[in-house]
Amino acid sequence: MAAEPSPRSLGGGWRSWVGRYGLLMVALVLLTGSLALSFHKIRQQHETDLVDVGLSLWLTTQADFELQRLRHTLDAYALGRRDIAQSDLLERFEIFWSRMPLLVEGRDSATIRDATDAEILVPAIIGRLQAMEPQLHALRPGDDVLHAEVATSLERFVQPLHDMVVQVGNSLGEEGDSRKAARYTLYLEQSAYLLGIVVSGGILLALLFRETGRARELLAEAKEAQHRAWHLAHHDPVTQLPNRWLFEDRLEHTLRGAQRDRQQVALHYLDLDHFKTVNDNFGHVVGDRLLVAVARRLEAVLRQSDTLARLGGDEFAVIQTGLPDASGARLLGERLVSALRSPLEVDGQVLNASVSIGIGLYPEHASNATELHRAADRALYGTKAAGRDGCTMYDPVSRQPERRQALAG
Amino acid sequence: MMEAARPGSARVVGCCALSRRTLILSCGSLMLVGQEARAEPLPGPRGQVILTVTGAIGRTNSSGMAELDLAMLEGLGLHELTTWTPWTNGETEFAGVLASRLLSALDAHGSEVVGTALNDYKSIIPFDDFDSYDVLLATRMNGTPLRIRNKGPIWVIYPWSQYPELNDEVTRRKSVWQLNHLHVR
Repeated sequence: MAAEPSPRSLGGGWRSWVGRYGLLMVALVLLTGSLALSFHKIRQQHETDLVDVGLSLWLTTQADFELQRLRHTLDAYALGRRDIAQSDLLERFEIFWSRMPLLVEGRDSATIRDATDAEILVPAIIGRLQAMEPQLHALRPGDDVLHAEVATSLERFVQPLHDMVVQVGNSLGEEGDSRKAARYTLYLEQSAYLLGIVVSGGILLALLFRETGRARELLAEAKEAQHRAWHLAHHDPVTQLPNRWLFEDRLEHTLRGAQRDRQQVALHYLDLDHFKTVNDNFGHVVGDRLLVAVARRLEAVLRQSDTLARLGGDEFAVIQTGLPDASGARLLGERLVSALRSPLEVDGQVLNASVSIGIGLYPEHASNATELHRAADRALYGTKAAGRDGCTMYDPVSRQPERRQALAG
Repeated sequence: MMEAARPGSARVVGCCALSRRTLILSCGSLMLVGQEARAEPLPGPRGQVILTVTGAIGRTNSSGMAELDLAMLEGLGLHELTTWTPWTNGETEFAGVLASRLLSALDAHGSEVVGTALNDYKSIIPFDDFDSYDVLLATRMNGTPLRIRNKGPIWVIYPWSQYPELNDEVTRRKSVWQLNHLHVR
C-alpha cells in the first residue's frame, strides 16, 4: 500500500508529490484565473453593451447645431447688431471648438468613429479653428473683408458636419464591424473562461473524492493494524488462545462481576501430561501442532462464556462462569479430561495425550485472584500426586495446614 | 491664452487667470467666513464670475444669488479626482471643488440642483448623488484651468473609474460641461 510510511527514493517522493498536489495546484490556479478573467470580461461586456448610438447622434447633432449658431452670431456681430458683443462671438467660437474633440475622443464617440471620417475631419477642423482665432479677435463690426473670409472658412465645415449627422443616423441599429468583431471575441473569451471554471471545478471535485477515498482506506488500515497489534500482544501465537496477560485481565474482570452478582467462578488449571516427551521425541514442530490440536479439543467442550487460555509451555487454564454449584465445575473438569482421552492425529502421527486438572472455586476457596490461583495450583498438585490424567477439586480442609504453612513462609 | 477680464459679466470667455496672491486672499477670506455664522453675507467676487448659484441658499453676495469666481470656488478646497470619462481618452486628472462642499458653504437647502450650461443645456442632479459619490465641479484638467473649448469653465465630473455603475446614460446627462449656473430647489 502506498500509505506505508516506508522511506522512498527521492524520485518516487517527488512524483507522488506532483501527483497529489500538482494537480490540485493546477486546478486552483485554473479556477482562480478563470474566475478573475471572467469577472473582468463580464464587466467589459457591461460597458460594451451600452447603446451609444443615440449618444453619438446627439454629439454630432450638437456639433452641427453649434456651427449654425456660430455662423449666425458671426454675421450678426459683423453686421453691427448692438446686442451681440465680441465676447459673445468668441464664446460661440469656443463652444463650437469644444464640440470637435467629442466626435473622436472617449468611448461615446465609438460609433461616430466607426461610421464616419471624423478621425480625419476633426483634426483638420481644429487646425482651421486655430488659424481662425486671431482673425476673430481682430474682427470688428463692419469689417466686411475679414467677415467674408471667416464666414467662408466656417462654411466649409457645414457640409462635412451635416454628412456626419446623416451617416451616424444611418448607422442607428447597425453595429460597426469592429464592435461586432469585439463582441464575438468577447463571447469566445467568456466561453473559454467558463470552460476553465467547469474543468477546474471538476478536477477539484475528483481530487476531493480521491482524497476522501484515500483517507477512508488509511483509517481502515490503521484500525486493522491496531487490532492486529492488540491481538499479537494478548494472544499466544501458537494456539491463538489468550495469553497469560489477557487471561489475568479477564480473571480479574470476571471476579469483579461475580462479586457484584454473587456468582461462582471456577478456575481450572490444566497441565498436559508428558508434553516434554512429545517435544523430545517428535520435535518442536509436532509439539506445537499437538498444542494446537489440544486447544481445539478443549475449546469444543467449553461454552462461549468460558475462557480458555494458554499460560505457557504445557500449561492451560479455563475460567468457568455462571456456576450453580461446585458439581458444575467438577463436571467440566471431567469432561476436559475425557476430551483428551481419545488419540490425537498430528502430522499423520497418532499421539496419546492426557491432562491433569486442578480446580479452585470463587468465592468458596478464595476471595481474590491470587488466592484462586493458589487453590487451583494446589488442587493440580493433588491430581499429579494421584497419578495424573484426572481432575481434583481444591479441598480446603486437607490442604489447610499446607496452605497455612505456605502463608507463613 | 486668456481673454481680457470683464468684471460683472456672468458670461465668461475663456477662464480667468488670477494671480497667486489673489487666489490665496480669496480662499482665505472665504474659508474664514465659512466657519463663522452662516447668515454672514458672502464676499463679492474679485475676478470673473464663472458660476452663479440661485434658489434655496442661505448665503449670497448679490441679490438672491451667489456669484463665484475661480479663486472663490477653488478656495473651498481643491479636490483631485483621476478618472476616465465617456468623452476623453484614457484616465484624466481633474481638480475642482466637491459639489457637496460648495452647497454646504452656501448653506443650500433642497433636494436637487438644476445645472445650466453656457449653451442653455439643463440637467437635474439630485443631492443624493453628492452623498453617494464625490461629484466634482471640475475647474482644472491635468492641472490647467478648463477653458470653454475643453468643456470649462466648470465640468461636472463623476468618479467613473471608482464606481463602474455610473457608466450609464442618466449619469452622462448629469455630467454637465460648460456649467455656469446652479439652481438649488
